[in-house]
Amino acid sequence: MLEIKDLTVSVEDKIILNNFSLKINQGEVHAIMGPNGSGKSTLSNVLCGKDNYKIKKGEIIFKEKNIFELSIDERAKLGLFLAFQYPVELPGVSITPFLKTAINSKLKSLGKKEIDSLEFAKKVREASEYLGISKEMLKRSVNEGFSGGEKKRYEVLQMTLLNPDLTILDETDSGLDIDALKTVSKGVNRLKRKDNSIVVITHYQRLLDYIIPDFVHILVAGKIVRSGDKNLALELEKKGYENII
Amino acid sequence: MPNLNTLNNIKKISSEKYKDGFVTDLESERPKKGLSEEIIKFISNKKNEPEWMLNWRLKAYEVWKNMKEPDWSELNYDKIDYQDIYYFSAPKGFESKPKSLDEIDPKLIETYNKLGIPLKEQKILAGVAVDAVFDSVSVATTYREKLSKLGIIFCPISEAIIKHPDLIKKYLGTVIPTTDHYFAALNSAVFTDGSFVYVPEGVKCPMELSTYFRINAEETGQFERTLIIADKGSYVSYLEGCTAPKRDSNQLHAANVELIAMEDAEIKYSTVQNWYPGDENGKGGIYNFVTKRGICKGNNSKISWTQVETGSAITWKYPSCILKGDNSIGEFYSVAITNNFQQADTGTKMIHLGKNTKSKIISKGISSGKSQNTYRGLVRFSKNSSNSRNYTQCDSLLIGNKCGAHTIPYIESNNNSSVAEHEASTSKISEDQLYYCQQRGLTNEEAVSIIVNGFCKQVLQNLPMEFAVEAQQLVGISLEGSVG
Amino acid sequence: MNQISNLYQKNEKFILGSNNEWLTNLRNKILEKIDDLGPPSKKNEIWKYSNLSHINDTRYEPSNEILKENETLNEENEIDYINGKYHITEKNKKNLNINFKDLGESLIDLKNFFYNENETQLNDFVIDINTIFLSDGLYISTKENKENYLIINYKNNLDYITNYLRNIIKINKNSKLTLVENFNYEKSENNDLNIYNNFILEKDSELEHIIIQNLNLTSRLLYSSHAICETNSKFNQLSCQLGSISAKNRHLSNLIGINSQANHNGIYFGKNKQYIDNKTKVTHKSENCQSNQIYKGILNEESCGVYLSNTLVESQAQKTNGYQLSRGLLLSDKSKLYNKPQLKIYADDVKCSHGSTIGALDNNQLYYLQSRGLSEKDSQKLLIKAFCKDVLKNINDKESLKKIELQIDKWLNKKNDKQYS
Repeated sequence: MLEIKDLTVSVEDKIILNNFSLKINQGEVHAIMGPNGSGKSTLSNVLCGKDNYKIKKGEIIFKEKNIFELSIDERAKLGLFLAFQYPVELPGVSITPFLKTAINSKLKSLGKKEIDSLEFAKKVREASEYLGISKEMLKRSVNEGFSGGEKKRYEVLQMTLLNPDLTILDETDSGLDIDALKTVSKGVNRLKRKDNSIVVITHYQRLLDYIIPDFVHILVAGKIVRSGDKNLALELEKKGYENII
Repeated sequence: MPNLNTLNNIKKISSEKYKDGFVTDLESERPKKGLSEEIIKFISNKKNEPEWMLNWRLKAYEVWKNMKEPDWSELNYDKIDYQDIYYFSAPKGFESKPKSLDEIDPKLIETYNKLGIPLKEQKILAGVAVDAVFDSVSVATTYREKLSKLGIIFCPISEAIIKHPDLIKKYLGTVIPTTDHYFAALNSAVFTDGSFVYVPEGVKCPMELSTYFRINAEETGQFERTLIIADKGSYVSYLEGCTAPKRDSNQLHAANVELIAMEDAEIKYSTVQNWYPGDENGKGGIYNFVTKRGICKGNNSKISWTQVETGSAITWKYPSCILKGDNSIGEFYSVAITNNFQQADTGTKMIHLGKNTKSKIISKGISSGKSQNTYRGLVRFSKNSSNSRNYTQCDSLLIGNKCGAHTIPYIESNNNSSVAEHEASTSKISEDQLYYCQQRGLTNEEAVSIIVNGFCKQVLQNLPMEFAVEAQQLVGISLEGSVG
Repeated sequence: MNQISNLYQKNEKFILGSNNEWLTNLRNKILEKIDDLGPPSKKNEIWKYSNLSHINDTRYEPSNEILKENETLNEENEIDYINGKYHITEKNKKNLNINFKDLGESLIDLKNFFYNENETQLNDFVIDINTIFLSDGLYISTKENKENYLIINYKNNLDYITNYLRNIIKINKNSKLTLVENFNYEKSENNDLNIYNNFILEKDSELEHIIIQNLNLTSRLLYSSHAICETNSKFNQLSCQLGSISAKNRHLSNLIGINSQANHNGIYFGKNKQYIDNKTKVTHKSENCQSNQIYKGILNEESCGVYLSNTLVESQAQKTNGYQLSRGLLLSDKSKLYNKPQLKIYADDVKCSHGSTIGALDNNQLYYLQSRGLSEKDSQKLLIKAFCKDVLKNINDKESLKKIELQIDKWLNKKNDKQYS
């Protein structure tokens, strides 16, 4: 699904990711854990193609394609989805036309015809009910005036409808109370299949109680310093970052 | 940052993008160029006008001759030679207005079909009556019979002058006096056609009334005149649309629109203005110098202006409300988008005269390319307009650093029981918003279009349903080639 | 020939710099221009809300009284203009951190400040009149890397005189100046003042400029200031207007260096038939600059207020932050206020906004305070003082703040007998 080889990335001459490598197969859930400033957010932004990052070396292969040359939306259309840590507000833009434009844009690039409006509306209704998103919330502008929990549920709603091959959850647990965390995890788990993969980026172990990873990697100073199974996360929780590396 | 390749592609397409820019090959009848008493007599004669109307025009012409073209705006255009314009142009065969569509040149019907404005009633968008004005004459008005059963008059103004002289004499020029300013006087002297609407007491007009303006002939000015009267307790919603062919020369469009709302009456006036804006080098395009003014004459009356201004080389207009009746309401919702070398100087005037009057102004300006986009507006509380309120919100969006966005509001309070509130902001589309949309798979252009549409939502949602979708697409099209 | 030319020719020999060739040439040029353009009129956008009966009534009545040396008891950081002539004492000269020079004697170095060829200068009728009738002025500069405090008192003890004054004040590199200008001669009547201050803020310098204007209600004021802000400099201004029957204040600044900042704050109080006309304008010419224009007005009786603000962002001035706020309280049914908050923006990476409200005191707030036991009058006073607060909080100089608060109290208490709403 995804292979990152010897990736070195800098921002304003400061190296953030240093010879970073990672391989993710279909159907796997990987957790990347690390302290603040370890390069977690850089990793998700570089994967999605945000600029301001200087790629010094390495490559990223996604679905057998080197994606460096692809723009942000081309990568998204290829099946990459980032659930943002801080989803930005889009005043005046409501979710239905927004997602419809996104889906149709993808269908168009594949040479397929546009999605049927009725079918789409049904899907949105079903997914939002599952995630506890009210009809009133669907009418509002994307993320505008939403609480932290509402924003994260909205991210999962979009993930549900866009049906990506690889999802990156960037600190999805931040700012969530326990009930919201459960709802969001439930929403993510429902989408887990044999042919898609998930990367969970997190600072804390608690999200991993709900979205259970196959592999856990510890990222420090732009490098994976240890990898293991889900027990590594528990160990980390007990000992702290300083004592585990 | 947008991808450079897509940027270039888009730039290429944009120059071909004005889809209404075709010319209809029709023989037209025109007197010689220039403005004179003779020409005014010619126009008046063509329209079979009674003598009082001709005299009214000639008086306006006298006034105009002694006026100077206003120069206070910062608009940049070559001096207009008023003697180098045709003041009348009609497709041949319009000596008298055709009685049915069968008499109309099929080319003309084809023109309107191409523009998406079918003139055959059975094909027309349900619930919209259309008056189509081609150069200087009205070519067809639909649904008239149905409306006349309710007592609603919807016809070309040239016809109203002959058939309803009492109404015309009573109201024409009462909201925009001939002496008001240079272009008002000019229009009064030479106006050729336009729509007339009268909604009688207590009648709610059951359908949208719509006029579609088309400039076809070259070097021709279009001077239309519209008069809408909503009698006590009535309601009417009116929409105008405008297009013109692509031409290298500039053409002048100087319309006057007067609205009169009596007690408890409401007029909703919407404009989707898509005159030819000129090419990407600023060549050609329409000078859209329009005077629009409504008076809330009776108590509890309401006038609401909604405009989507995407076309024209220069747009210079301030649809205004005189809030004379107590408790009357004035509203102004505006989206103005400028690209390439377009210039827009638009806004409104809310003149509060009556007690408990309210006004609301929502203006959204988007500038891109090398364009200049100005909001200019006046809110005035007079001495007697006690307990009145105004709320104004002006937001500007800049795309690129070769354009300008300006906000020039005048707020005058002569009454301490009234409250004026004004907010304005200028910013650009945030990188984060673009990133977010693109991460969801929207292309850069789709992302800009959806963000700008969101930015304009407060205004677009005031358009009649049938036109809201069209306007949204227009927003996207107008910005193409601007992203960068 | 117009009235101004007449006045000028009659008095030429009394005017500062009349023996200076370039200045005389400039004056003649200006007189020609005035002849050409005619007097300011409402038809011209820039004079739209001006009190033209004041602006078009130019007088020239200098005082002939000769100053006696060492008459005042000023400290070393306090200087006076008395009857239109500056007065610098031995004590002042001891202040080694501030250098004072006679403007007339420094003309040779200051030509650029008079010639309005540079677009950064104010260039209009009010300044032109100042240039023509200029009677006195100072060239003040601070010493690099020093912090300083200077008070200028404008005092007249004669009636019916005119003052045409100009100061050029240079804040040298990395120095800091707090400048307080007091117009506090309530007793002399019917004076006309035309004052123009030029500020140059060099790199890393800071100027806090406070104007406390409490002229007699028969006197008239034309006050203009213009600041040029270089890299990393900070200009913080407060104009507090209480007196004068007709005051026209214009404060302009140009942010020419990156990271520079200009704040124009103002509060103005009107009563009687006062006409208080304020304008501020910030021109952003460089990246990463910040500006704030925050004015509040309280207008009572038949007074009339005007506030025009303007943020101009040139295309190279990316990453600009510009903010404007204008709020007006109309306390009587005959008071008026005209606002025109402009934004002219040619750069895209900017955050600019303005807000403006005009209205009476909030009845709900009044009601709330009264329900807590305050009298109606006290409630009103409390709300007016609160209204001024977010302007005053922008000023660091505690001494001036005390003075201003005292003056505000005086203004509020004078109106004891009348109700505000």
